[in-house]
Amino acid sequence: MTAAALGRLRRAHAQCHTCSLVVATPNGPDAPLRCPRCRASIHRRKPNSLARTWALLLAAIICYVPANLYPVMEVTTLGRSQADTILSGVIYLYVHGTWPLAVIVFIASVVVPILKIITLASLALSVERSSQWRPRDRARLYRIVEAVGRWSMVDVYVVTILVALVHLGSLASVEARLGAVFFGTVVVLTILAAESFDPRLIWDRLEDGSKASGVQHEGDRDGE
Amino acid sequence: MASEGGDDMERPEGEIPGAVVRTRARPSIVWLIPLIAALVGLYLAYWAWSEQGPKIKIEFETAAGLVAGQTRLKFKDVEVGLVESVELNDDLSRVQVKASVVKELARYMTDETHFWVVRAEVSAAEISGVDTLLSGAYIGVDPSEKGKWTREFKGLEKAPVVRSDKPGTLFDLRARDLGSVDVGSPVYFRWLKVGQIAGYSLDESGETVNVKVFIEAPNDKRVRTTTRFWNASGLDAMLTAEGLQIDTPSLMSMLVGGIAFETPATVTVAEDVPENMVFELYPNKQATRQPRYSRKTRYLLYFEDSVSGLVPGSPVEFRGIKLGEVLSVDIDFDQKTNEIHIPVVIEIEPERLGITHDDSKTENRARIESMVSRGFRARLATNNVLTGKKAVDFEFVPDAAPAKIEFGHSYPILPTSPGGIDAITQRVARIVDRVDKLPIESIGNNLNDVFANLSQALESVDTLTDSANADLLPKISASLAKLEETLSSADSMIAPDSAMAVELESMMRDLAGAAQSLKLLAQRLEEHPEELLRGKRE
Amino acid sequence: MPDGGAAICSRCGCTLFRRQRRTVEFTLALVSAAAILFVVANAYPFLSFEMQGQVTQTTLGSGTLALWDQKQHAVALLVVWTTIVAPALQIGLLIFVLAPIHLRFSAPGAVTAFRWVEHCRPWSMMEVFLIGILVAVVKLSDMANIIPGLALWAFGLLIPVLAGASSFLDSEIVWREIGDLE
Repeated sequence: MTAAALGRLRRAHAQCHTCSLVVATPNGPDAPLRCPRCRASIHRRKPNSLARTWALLLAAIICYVPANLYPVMEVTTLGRSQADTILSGVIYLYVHGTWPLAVIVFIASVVVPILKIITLASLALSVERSSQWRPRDRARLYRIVEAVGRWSMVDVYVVTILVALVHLGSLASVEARLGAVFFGTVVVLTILAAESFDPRLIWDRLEDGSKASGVQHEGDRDGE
Repeated sequence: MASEGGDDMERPEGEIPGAVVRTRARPSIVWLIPLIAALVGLYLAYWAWSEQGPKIKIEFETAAGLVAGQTRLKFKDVEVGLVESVELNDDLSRVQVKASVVKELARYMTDETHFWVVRAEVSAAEISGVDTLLSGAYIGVDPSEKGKWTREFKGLEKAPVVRSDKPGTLFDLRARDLGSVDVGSPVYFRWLKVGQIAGYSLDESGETVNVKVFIEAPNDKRVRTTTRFWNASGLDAMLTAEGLQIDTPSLMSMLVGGIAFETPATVTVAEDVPENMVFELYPNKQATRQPRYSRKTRYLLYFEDSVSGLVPGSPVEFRGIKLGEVLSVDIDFDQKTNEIHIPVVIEIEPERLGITHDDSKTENRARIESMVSRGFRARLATNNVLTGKKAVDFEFVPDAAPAKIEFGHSYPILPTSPGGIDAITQRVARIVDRVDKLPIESIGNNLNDVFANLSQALESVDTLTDSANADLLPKISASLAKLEETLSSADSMIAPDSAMAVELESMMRDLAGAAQSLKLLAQRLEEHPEELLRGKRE
Repeated sequence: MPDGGAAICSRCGCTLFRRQRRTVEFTLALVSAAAILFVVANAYPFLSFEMQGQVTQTTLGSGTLALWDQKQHAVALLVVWTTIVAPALQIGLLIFVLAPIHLRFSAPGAVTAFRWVEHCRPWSMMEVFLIGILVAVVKLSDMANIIPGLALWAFGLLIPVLAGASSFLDSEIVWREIGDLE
C-alpha cells in the first residue's frame, strides 16, 4: 500500500466521532454528512476547532483573574464575617497543619487550571505554527489535559458542602461568593475549550509538512 | 497491527461489520453486585419506613423561633421530633406547625399531651432557656399516656406548671384580689419554695379571684384541711401588742410576689384535703391568725351622733373583739318627716357572738332579741385617738331605753344609743340649755335651785373625768409606747449589719463579678470571633 | 479479532476498540448496581454536622438547594448538573440502552439515548465531589463533630462501580448492537 494510496483512502473516508463508524465520503471531505448509524453530523475535523478553542481559552483567562481575586466564600460567625479566596483557603489549610490537603487543593484549584490553559494554548499555538515538535507527546498531553481538567472543580464542591453543612443561623453560616461563580465558569470554559480542540489537527499539519522528519511513524513503516 | 489498521480503513461504507455471535450462557456472577445492592437498598427503605414516627400538627400563636426543618421537639432535653413545616392556618389567626415525632412516642400522642415553645425567658420570676439564644428555640413536650389519641394539638404559649414528670397536687384558693402574684410566682412553706401558682381566674360572681396553686410532692402532703394560705408579697408589717413586727420574706418574693402556707396547731383536727376544698387566700399572715367564720349577716344602724371618722371598713367591735366591719355610711333624707337620717350598714359574723350556724334562724333571732332586750346597743366610739377614726361598739348599756329590732326593712335595724364622748357633748348641750333657760328675774328667787343644778352639773363633770381617765389616757399611753417600739425596730432593720443589708451587699458583689467576666469574654470574642467556631488558637 | 485483543491506531496509539467478554452484560449489571447506589446516596443524609448541640443533616442535594437559596443560581446549576443530573442521565440512559440489547429487542430512541450518554460523560464529576467532601470535612473537623451518614458510603461505592461500568462499556459494540437491532 503506497503512502499515496493510503492518503487517498484517508481522504475518501471519515470516522463518525460519536459512534466511531467509518464511513465513505463520496462528496469530498468537507461536504455535510450524517452518520448512518447514529445520525450525528460527520466532520473530518471538528469545525472551526482552532477559532473556537482560542475564543474559549481567552474567555477562561479573563475569568481566571476575578476567580482568584474575589472571595470564594464568606464565613459568618456571630455577626463577624471572614471572606476567603482560593489562595487564602489553601494558606488556611496549610497553617492549620493539614498540609497534604493544602497541597491537594493548591494543585487542583490553582495549578491545574493554569496548566490546562497554558497547555491548550500551546497546543493550539503549535498547530497554528505547524510545529513538528513531538506529535505523539503532544497528543498524549491533550488526552491528559482532557482527563485532568475536571479536578479543578474541587474548590467549588468544597464551598458547596460548607454552605450546606454550616447552617446554624446566627452561630455560624457560610455563603458562596462571586469568586466561586467565576471559578466555575473557568472550569466550564476550559472543559469546552478542550472539547472543541481537535487533536487530529496536530497530525494534519505534520502531514502537510515534510514527511522526512526522521521520526519513526508506525503508519509509514512500509511507506516509500 | 499496522495491517489491521489498514484493513479497517479499507472497508467501504454501509457494510455492517460481521455480527458478533454470543452464546447465551448463564448470567454471569457479576449480577450478584446489583442484586446485593438491591437487597441492601430495599432493606434500608423498609428500615427508614418503619422508623418513621407519627406526624402531628400543633397550633401556636406565633412562629417566632421556629424554623422548618431545623427546630427540634425535646423532652427532658432528648430530641424526640423535628418540625417539618411552619404555615399559617386558613384564616391567618394561628400558626400551624407540622412535625414528625419518633415512633417511640407514638402512643403518648394523646389529648393530655402538651406542647409549648421554649424560648429565652427573662423576667423577674425566672431566667430560663437562655441556651436557646444560641441553639434556636425548641418545642418542649409533656407526654401523657392517658387520654384519647389524637394527631392535632393546640400548643401552649408557656410551659405548663403542672407536668407529668413532676408529681404534685393542685389546690384551689379563693382571694379578694390577686395582689401582686402571677402565674409562676412561688409558693413557700417555711420559706422554702415548694410549688408555683399555676393559674388564676376571676370568679363568675366577680367578687373573688380563684387561684390555682401547684405544690410539688412530697410537700403537697403538708396541706391539710386546717392549712392557711396567705399572700406573702411585700413587707408584712404588723402593729401588735409587742410592738412593730416586720416579717421579711426573701428578696425574691418581695419583688415577685408569692404565697406561703402553714398548718397551725388548732383545736380542730387536721385531716387530708378532700377533692374540691377551696382554701381562703388571706391578704397577709396576720389575717390568718384570726379565726375565720364563713357566715356574715348585715344589719342597719341609725345614729343620732356625728359619724365623722366612721368610714366603710371601720371595725365593729364588742368589748374589744372584732365582730365585723362597716360596709357603708349614707345620708337618708326622709321627705315625709323632713328629717335627715344616717343609715350605717354593718356586716358582722354572728358566730363571734356565739351564734353558731348549727342553730336555726328562729333561734338566732330569739337570741339577738333577748340580747337587745337586755340592753345590747350599738354606739359610736373613737377607735384611734391619733387618727380620729371611729368604730361601732356594741355594748350592753345599762338603763338603756327599751328598744326592739325592727325587721322588715332591707336589713334588720338594731337599736343604737349615744356614744361615750357624744353623750358628753349632748349632756353639755343640755346643761347649756338649762342655764340658758334660767330666768334672770328668778335667779335671786331660785338661788337654791341654781345651786342645786350646779352641783348636778359638777357631778356630771366628775363622771366625765372618770370616763376620760378610764378611756382616753390608757389609749394615749399605749400609743406612745408603741411609737417608741416602732422607732427602735425600724432602726434595727436599717442597721448596716441587718440581714437585709448583708444580703443586698453580697448580691451586689456577685453581680459585679459576673459583669466583669462577661466583659472579658466579650472582649476576647471581639478580637477573635472565629474562636467560637475554631476553638482557642494560641 | 480475538477476544481480549485490542486495536490501536497505527498513527497515534489511541486505542480504537477493545473487545471483551460479555461487555454488555457486565456493564448492565454494574450500571444497575450503580443506579441503586445512586438512589440510596441521594435519598439518605450523607453527613451530619454537630456543633454546640445544633445538628444539621445534609443530603447530596442540600448543597445545591442551599446555593440556590443564596441566589447563587449559576453555581447551583453547575453543581447539580455535574453531581446529580449528568451522572443520573448517564446511569439511566445506559440502562435504557443496554437492557434492550441484553434482552435482544429494539428500543426506540436508543441512538439519541446513547449519544446523550457520551455527551454526559465529561460532565459527570462525582469522584471530584467526593474529594471536595473530604477536604470540607477536614476543614470542619476541628471545630465540630462530623458524623458520616449512610449516603456517604453508598456514594463511595457508587464511584468505583460507575468507573467499572464505564471501563467495561465498549461503545463500539453498543453502537454495533444498536445498528443491528434497528
